[in-house]
Amino acid sequence: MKLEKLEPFVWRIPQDAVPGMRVPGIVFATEEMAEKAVEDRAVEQVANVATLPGIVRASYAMPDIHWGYGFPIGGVAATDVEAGGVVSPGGVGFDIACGVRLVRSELEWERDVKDRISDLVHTLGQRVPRGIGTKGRMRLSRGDMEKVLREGVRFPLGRGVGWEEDAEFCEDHGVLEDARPEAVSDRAIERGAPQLGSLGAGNHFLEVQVVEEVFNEHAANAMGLFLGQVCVMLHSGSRGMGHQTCTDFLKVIDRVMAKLGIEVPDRQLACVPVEHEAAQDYLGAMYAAANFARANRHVLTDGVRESFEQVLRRSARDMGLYLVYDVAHNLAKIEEYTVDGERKKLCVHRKGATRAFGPHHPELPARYAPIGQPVIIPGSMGTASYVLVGTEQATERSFSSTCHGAGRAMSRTKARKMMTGPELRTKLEGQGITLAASQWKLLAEEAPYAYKDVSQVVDACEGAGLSKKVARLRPVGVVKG
Amino acid sequence: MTERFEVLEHTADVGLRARAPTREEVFEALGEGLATLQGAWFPDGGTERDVEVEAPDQAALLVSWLDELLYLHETEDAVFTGLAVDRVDDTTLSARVRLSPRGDRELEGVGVKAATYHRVKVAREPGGGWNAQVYLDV
Repeated sequence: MKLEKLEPFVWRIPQDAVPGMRVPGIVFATEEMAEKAVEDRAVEQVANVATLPGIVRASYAMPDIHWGYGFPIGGVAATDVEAGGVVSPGGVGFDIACGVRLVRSELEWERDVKDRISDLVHTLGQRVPRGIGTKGRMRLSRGDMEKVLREGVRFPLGRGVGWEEDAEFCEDHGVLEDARPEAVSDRAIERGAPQLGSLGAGNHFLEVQVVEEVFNEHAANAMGLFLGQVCVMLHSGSRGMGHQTCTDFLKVIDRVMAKLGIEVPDRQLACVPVEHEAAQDYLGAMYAAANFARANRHVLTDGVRESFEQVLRRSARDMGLYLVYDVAHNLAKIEEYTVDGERKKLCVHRKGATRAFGPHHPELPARYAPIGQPVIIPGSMGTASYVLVGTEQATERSFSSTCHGAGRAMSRTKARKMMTGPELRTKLEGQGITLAASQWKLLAEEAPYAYKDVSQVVDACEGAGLSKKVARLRPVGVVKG
Repeated sequence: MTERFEVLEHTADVGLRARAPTREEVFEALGEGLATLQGAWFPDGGTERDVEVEAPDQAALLVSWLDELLYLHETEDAVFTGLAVDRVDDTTLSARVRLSPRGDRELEGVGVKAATYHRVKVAREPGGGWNAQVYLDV
């Protein structure tokens, strides 16, 4: 499949690339990334998404694009709700509302934390449940589960877990009001009940990081970030609750789609018009899973604060462990945009892509109105992570979306063949990174060399006008799921 | 002993493929593949339970079968000690799954989230026998 270069970081997939495309594809990438996306066949998936009924403008891919299932990872697609536009559970993925949050501090690395990092990582490793099938920090009854699904972070806050102001700095203030717990299956509730406040496995992690470069003082100030500062980044999702919800609705939507006679090039793209009852049930259940994901990261943050308190013997408030922002990168939401001069209600799918509202967007907390929405981009283990802000330009360019991470470049098997887990541990420790992993054997699957260079990814996003760099953080302690 | 399944390369996720004389054996092998990837395959002892799965077609049946195993693994907090698929037709499957409490075992696995419909296939081989493949979200 051939890509046409439109601008230095913008590539077009012509509308005749695969049969049935309703709009062209747009890939934001450097030349090298674009070539890799073609080779990887992820570009074909961008083209497949362009066949979804009601899709408007284009099927987009962010610079961290790689081969997914159905949608590419890094895919963004918006459909016109009032013109038969569809929602596709595959466009959100199994880990509904998987996302990242950044907690800042008033601590300086050299002065306050460096000497205690081993203890800190060890304590975080103990206080943050992680790995396959782990039980979380809170175990919930069925009634409590329904509350979490409806109330998001308000539920743990009501139990005295976390700080009231945390909610303000969470996407949607930590709760999607349109959630419908009654649309969630018993199985999803059963899977989620023991898991609230658990990190999960695979690429989920928690890192102690240090701000090593500030690109935008104004935005960094608004977020409370400064050079040499210690922060904590946390990447987790909706656990078994979200996985089960996607699994359940893929079956439902697959069946309804067949009845409606909608055809898609990949069964994982199964979709139905947003206004259909099945889609409404899915959206309600998916929002409930998103509430669970936010509450999960909120409860995990409590474990982070406790660990800092235990090791540094100061109160979390005194250490200034405030939430900078919490934002998802696997979600579909109803948002309004102007398309062809008309204001439209769109169902915006972001699958491995982050919402990135520009300055003065009404949904931003007042503190961030002048700078735009903070976007948190985790690098691969052992490499830098970034904090970005959304731009006004991205509204037009990508339905206010940007990248979500480094993006994988190598399969897990290949990554494991290059180095063993213990070898990688030694290497990372040689770089001054303290590590706690739940499984050393498979550590190398998440090795930095298995990912694209996150710096190139965020530079491509900036080059394409999707977001702007604010700060770069380097890891000093890694707790792997 | 060679594995009864093959792991397929995928940039972000993992695929599984199996070939066997019968459809039952293919489903069994892929179940074992999933349990192995999850670090939850400990073939010894355990308690048996019956599993019945239904789906509109055999490809969806494969996805549902693997999802059923993930559900059991997670909600029972158990590892797999044996799998026997007794009967598979185009829309239904009957199997016996042996589970053992996970206890203190640290599972060294990839953390499979779910089975996907992406390139899922269950087919008769031209020369006899069956093959199937499925991709898992990890």
